[in-house]
Amino acid sequence: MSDILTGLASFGSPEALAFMLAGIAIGCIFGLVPGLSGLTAIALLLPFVYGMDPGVGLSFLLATHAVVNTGGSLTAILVGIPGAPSNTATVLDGYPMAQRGEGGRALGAALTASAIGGVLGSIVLIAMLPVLQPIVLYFQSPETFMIAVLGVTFIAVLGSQDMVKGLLSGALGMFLATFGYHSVSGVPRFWLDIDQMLDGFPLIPVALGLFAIPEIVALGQTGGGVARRGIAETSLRNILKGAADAFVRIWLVVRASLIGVFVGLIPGLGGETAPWMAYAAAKATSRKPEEFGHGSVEGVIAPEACNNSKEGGALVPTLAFGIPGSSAMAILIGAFFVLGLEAGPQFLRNHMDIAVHLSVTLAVANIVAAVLLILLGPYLARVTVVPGRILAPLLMVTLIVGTYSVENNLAHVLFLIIFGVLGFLLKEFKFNRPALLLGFVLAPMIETYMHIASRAHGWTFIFRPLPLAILVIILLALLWPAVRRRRGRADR
Amino acid sequence: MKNYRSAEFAFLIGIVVVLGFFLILGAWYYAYNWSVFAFPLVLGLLAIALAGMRMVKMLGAPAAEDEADTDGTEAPAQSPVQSPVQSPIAAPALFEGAAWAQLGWLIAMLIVSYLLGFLAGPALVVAAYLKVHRFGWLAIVLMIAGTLAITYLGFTVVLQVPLPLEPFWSR
Repeated sequence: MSDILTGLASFGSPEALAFMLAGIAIGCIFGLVPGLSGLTAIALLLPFVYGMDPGVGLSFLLATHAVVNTGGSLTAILVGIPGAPSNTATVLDGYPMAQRGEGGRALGAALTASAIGGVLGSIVLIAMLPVLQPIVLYFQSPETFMIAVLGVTFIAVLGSQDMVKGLLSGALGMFLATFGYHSVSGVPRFWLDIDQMLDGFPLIPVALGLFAIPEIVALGQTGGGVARRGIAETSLRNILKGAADAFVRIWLVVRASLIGVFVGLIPGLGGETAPWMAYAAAKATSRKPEEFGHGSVEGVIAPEACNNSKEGGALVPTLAFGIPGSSAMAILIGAFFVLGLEAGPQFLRNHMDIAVHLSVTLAVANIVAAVLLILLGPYLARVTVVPGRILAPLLMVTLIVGTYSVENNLAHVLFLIIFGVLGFLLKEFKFNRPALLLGFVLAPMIETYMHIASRAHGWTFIFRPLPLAILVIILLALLWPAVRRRRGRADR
Repeated sequence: MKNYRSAEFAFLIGIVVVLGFFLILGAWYYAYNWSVFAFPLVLGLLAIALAGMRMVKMLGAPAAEDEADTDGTEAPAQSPVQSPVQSPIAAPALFEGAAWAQLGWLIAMLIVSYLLGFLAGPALVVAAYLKVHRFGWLAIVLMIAGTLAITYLGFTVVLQVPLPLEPFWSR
């Protein structure tokens, strides 16, 4: 109970509220600009949370990421271009509605469904945290070691079509994390006799290089404004009519939200899958399925409710076990380390108050973003006509200065560029970047807990009940691609 | 597509060479003891083995099999429902000079910032970037103001980061 009160007090502090509002504003803008995803937003803001109070810093990042989909729905409907990849399903019915003069209604329905979905996602998260807390209390070093290995395996195997590429990314990330001082003996590894390498590769340049630089490169390649079509007109009256549509179809919103939560709960399944599942379910249960694809308001409500609710689901494995529910959550786990926290069972055991703070942030951020966009959305949509080549250099400046400012070290900017080139190549060759980052983040934890577990229990620790059960899950995850292939062949 | 696969093959060879270099360095130059070296050795060998498996698969599999994969930031291709809507940002950029030029601008920003400091350096590179991309002088002046707002107002005044506003080499 005291954790809940402390979490609520932490959420209500002026500093936390101010950063949450800043995060919402930034997230909405990132959502509006096609090509800038929540992943890029969270990566770009990583240097700014360094030195912040952990609850405030994580809530800032989460608020930013949580509302990107909300902002993205606006361009999907008014311009016909999804602001974020997960808004693609919304285009199918949102843009036809806008073309026939119902843009405001579609927008109102999407934003209201997003807000309700976000709140439902955070309710599920809040409900699950007390259930999970006693479970994680059972976790000792062997269990924590195995759960970290499970995290890397899940995101590597389930997030990629090609398991070998996914596992290679994860192993490469873990190998890169072994550079610098060994946590157990203090011996520096692979430091090439360069002083700047003694601490290994710092997390912020690695995360920014892998995720922000490839997106900025893509943005800089787009010559003119991303939105070349006109922006549909809307009125507040129509927006409110759309909001009423979402409340009238509340069971559709709830159903789509639960699909989002469920997909979010499963690490590596991919956030872009969920809205399409909700869309398909809505079409299957609709009284007018023939209207889908031609401007059905249900086709807007379902993917948007699902989009925002999945973040609540994705936070459950992230907070409780340190297994990211999505690729953005992998960066959030990186932020835990930047803020001096340890992701995984230790977090829920020691920092339930921060978990409560984050859950409330998720709910409130979704509501505030929806209200903000209902009022300002049609004006903010004009950001899509800003050429990518105007935004790209400004983001480059933020990236370079932000990376330097964390430790006032120019070598970190050099690391940023090296990992930027690596990130670009990984993206081009379709290697699993989140798996690489997660391997990089979790490797020190895996090595340390493996050392402690083997010293305390001997190598037989693997045969304790829970580590053995996790090992079985890991083996099943490794077998999953073969099962998927066989099912695919059988379907054909 | 053939060039793309050759490039990926070269990338995998690059990974193997880099990993092999560091493992050899650890074993012979630094001569780490087992407790220090075991973890990276296992990971390095695992990564090399996986890269080898990928190369063997590439030599045997048709090119089309690779096309549907993602980089882990999107849903895998065999998702329950496929997206019929294309992203506005083009993905394949490996052989486009424009993509490598963007990376070049980043490197230029680092070098010029080292030479001129964080006040003039980024502003100058942003101006050059816009000029090369044929923006008008008004846009350039506004963007220089925007850059100075980020570096000076944002970082130095608001966030109170002691950025080196003077050239690095003069410190």
